[in-house]
Formats: sequence, structure tokens, C-alpha cells
Amino acid sequence: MADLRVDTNKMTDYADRIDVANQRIATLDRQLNSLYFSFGLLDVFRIIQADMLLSYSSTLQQCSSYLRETAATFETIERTLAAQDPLNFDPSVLLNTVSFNPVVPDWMHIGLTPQELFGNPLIMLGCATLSPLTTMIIRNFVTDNFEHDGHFNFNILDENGHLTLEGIDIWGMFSNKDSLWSIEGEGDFWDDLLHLHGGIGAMTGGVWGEGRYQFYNSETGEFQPGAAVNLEGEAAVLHIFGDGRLGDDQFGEGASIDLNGAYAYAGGDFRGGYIGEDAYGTDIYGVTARGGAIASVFHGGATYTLTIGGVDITFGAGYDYLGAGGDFDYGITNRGVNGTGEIAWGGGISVSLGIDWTDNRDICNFIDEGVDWALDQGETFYNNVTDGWNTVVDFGQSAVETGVDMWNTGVDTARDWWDSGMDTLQEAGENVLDFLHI
Amino acid sequence: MRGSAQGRLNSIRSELNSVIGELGSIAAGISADCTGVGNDRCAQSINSVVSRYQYVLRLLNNVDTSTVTDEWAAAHGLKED
Repeated sequence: MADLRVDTNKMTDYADRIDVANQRIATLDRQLNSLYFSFGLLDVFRIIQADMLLSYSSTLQQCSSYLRETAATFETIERTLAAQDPLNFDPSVLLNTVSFNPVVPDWMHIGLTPQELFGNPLIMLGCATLSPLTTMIIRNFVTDNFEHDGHFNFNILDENGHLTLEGIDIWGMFSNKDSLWSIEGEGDFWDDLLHLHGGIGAMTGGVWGEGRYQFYNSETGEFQPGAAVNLEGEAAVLHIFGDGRLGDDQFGEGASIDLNGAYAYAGGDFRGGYIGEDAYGTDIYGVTARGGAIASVFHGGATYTLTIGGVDITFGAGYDYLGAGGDFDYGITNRGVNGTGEIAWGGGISVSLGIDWTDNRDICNFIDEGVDWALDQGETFYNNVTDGWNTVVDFGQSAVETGVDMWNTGVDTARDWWDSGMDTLQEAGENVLDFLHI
Repeated sequence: MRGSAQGRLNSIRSELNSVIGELGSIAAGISADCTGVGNDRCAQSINSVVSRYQYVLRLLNNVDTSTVTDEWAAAHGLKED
């Protein structure tokens, strides 16, 4: 039997201290708001990031509740035991006390090992009462399994005050994916001619997103216009996946399966222009769109890939049982084309086809020549537009300066004329007075 | 007021550092003072929050107050006499 050691006074004290700390964090959150307009643009971005991450924490609140509830439960048990006649002790009193006041709250059950999970009937009861999706979300929330990254460059004027889009490079992503329990394996055999990969997960899923808008790559200075918007969420109670491949990247065959029980997906992913890099580090350009919303008791699919001369031709089929919704995935890039779609009502079937020539570098190089030509034309057009705009701005500025100069010259000339006229008039007046001998 | 903003930022950094220390101390206490009642999970949760706040502190430590020019501060009524 596991050891138990509890100090209820200290637990209550810790709960109080956590609440105080949480209130201090809430106060800091309010104070951060007053700094938004006190610093430069990049620092404002840091402060916005800090403000987003610094807020009253429900995780701390749950920890505080857990400490109080546990302390209260043990004090109840202690009082119950103290009231019992030691010579006539009834163990069911203790069992009932624990059963109706579980020491560990439901949210703490998540994340235990299978041994702990199935070795404790209270924990099993707690898990069973929570829906799988809620369990996953709570687990993600409690474990803070959150990743994010990004940069923000937005300088539309250069040092000469001219319009430029080279300084616009905005990118941000977040991801919160997790599973309650999973096993995954991968291996290469026969001099890497056979590759196997697969796994199984329980209560898997998450949410993720990305946004990007750029004309130039701010790190390399390369002209890479592109935009992307992505926000998706996915969850499954049971996820089994596997893929295998026989051959090399030029010739071979491969297959994959992806099976999900109690599956749900919603979201969209739209990309245009620069999309990213392929396995060889060369740029991918094109248009891709994926999205939809679907939920089903079973969601699965399988693919078969035939590789000839570095060109992967993939056929796929999918099936949804007792589900509703629809999804799609289409793309055309300089590395391949693909397409699939499905509408499910009660059940649904989808087929997919994809052609990927990433590993045929001759095709890639031929297409990339066209892409490079298009990019050069785009950059030339962009330069002409910005040069034309800046010429107009310079001309306008020059015209204004010239106008101001002419105005000032005119004013000076008029003032000289006025002074000269006044002198002449004064001289004439003096001559008249002399003539009259006054 | 640039100095004032700097002062407020320093105050926030100091308070956040203090809260991080307090939460770390609480997590250590919860781990040490109890056994077998899920307290380790509780301490882990607190430490994960502490890690997030430490990242926030690093963000705030990277805020460069020198990026605000005197002219900008004066134009926005932020300049101290």
C-alpha cells in the first residue's frame, strides 16, 4: 500500500499563498496595460506577448482548490475516525468518506500512467465521467503544453522616407497538441530500403494555428511574397497510424493507414505564394487550401504510393462511419498537385490523388526556372510601382518646396518694393516741403 | 515620463520576480510536506506556470526603453522635466 503523508494546516496555508500570488499576477496584468504606449513598436510587441501570457491563472486556482479539498477531506476522515469506538470499528465508514469526497479532484486524474489509471477505481470513475474531448482539453490546459513562435517586422518607409515593402515580414504560430497516452515507433531495415513507422494514441489531438504575410524574407533579403492563414483543431479518442515504404526516393512503393475512433476536426488552412521549403531546402510556391468541419464515430483512410523516377503518385481512400460534415484538401505548387474532398451525412467516402515530384530534381529545376522568371517579373513590377510612387512623392515634395521658395521670394520682393516705394514717397514729401520752404 | 515608464516597468519586473520566487517556494513545499495524495502533480502544475512567468520576465527584461526618443516622449506628454 502506498505511503500517505499529509499536513492539512500547511496545505491550507499553501492554498492561501497561491491565491495571494494569483491576485498579484492579476494586478501585474492590469499594470502591464499602461505600458503599451510608452515604448517602441518592437517592445510593444514584447509587452503584448507578456500581457497575453501574464494573467490570472486558472491552473493556480485549481491547485489551490485541490489543496483545500484534500485538506478538508483528510480532516473529515480524522474527525470520523476520532468519533469511532476503537473496539467496534467499521471500515466502511472510512471507505464511504473517501468515496464521496475524493482526495484527488477529477482534473488531477488526467496524465497518470496506465498503471496508476487502472489501479485506482476512483480515478477510473473520474475519467469515465469526463468526455474524452473535455479530458484532452483540460489536460492540455493543465499541463501548459503550449508552443508559440513568431516575429513582427512592419517598416513601410525606408531611411529616406520612401515606400518599401521589404520591411514587412509578419509571422506567428502556436500549437497545443498532446495525447493522454501514446506509443510510436520507427525503423529502417535492409540498408534503409524498408522503412516502417507506426503508433497508437489515446485521446489525442490539439489546436494549432499560423499566420504569415511577407514580401521579402527579412532574414535573407530574398523576394518571397506569400501569405498564410491557418487555424485548426482535431481530436480523437483512439488514433492508430502506420506507414511503410519499400525502395528509395527514386523507385519504390509505400502505403499508409490512419484510423480514428470518435473523431472530430474543424478549421482551415489557406496559403498562397511562398509556402515554405522542401526537403532539399528549395522554395515551394503555389496555392493550397484545406479545411472543413467533420465529426464521426470512425474516421479512417489508407493510401498507396507508387514512386517512379522520383515522382510519387499517391492514391487514397477515406471512410467516415456515423458522422456528419465535410472537408477538403487541394493544392498546386511547384512540387506537386493534390486533391480530395468529402461530404459525410451518416457516413461518407472520399478518394484522393496526389502527384509529388520533389525527388525528381530535373522536373523541379525546370519548373523552378519558370518560378524564378515569374518572381523576377514580380520583383521588377513591384520595384517599378514603388519607384513610380516614390518619384511622385519626391516630385510633390519638390514642388511644395519650390512653391514655398517662390512664395518667400515673392514676399521678399514685395517687401523690397514696399520699402522702396515708401522711401521714394518720403523723399518726394521732403522735396515738396523744401519747395514750400516749410 | 520615460523615466516614469521605466520605473513602472522595473516595478513590474521586481514584483513578477517576487511572485515567481513565492510560487517556486510553494511548489517545493507541496512536494516536500505531503506524500501520495497527488501533490507531485500539483507541484508540477505550479512549476509549469512558473516556467511561463519566467518566460514573461525574460520578455520584459528585453524591453529596450532607449527606443523611445525624447521628441516622441515630449510629443506624447511623456517627458519628465
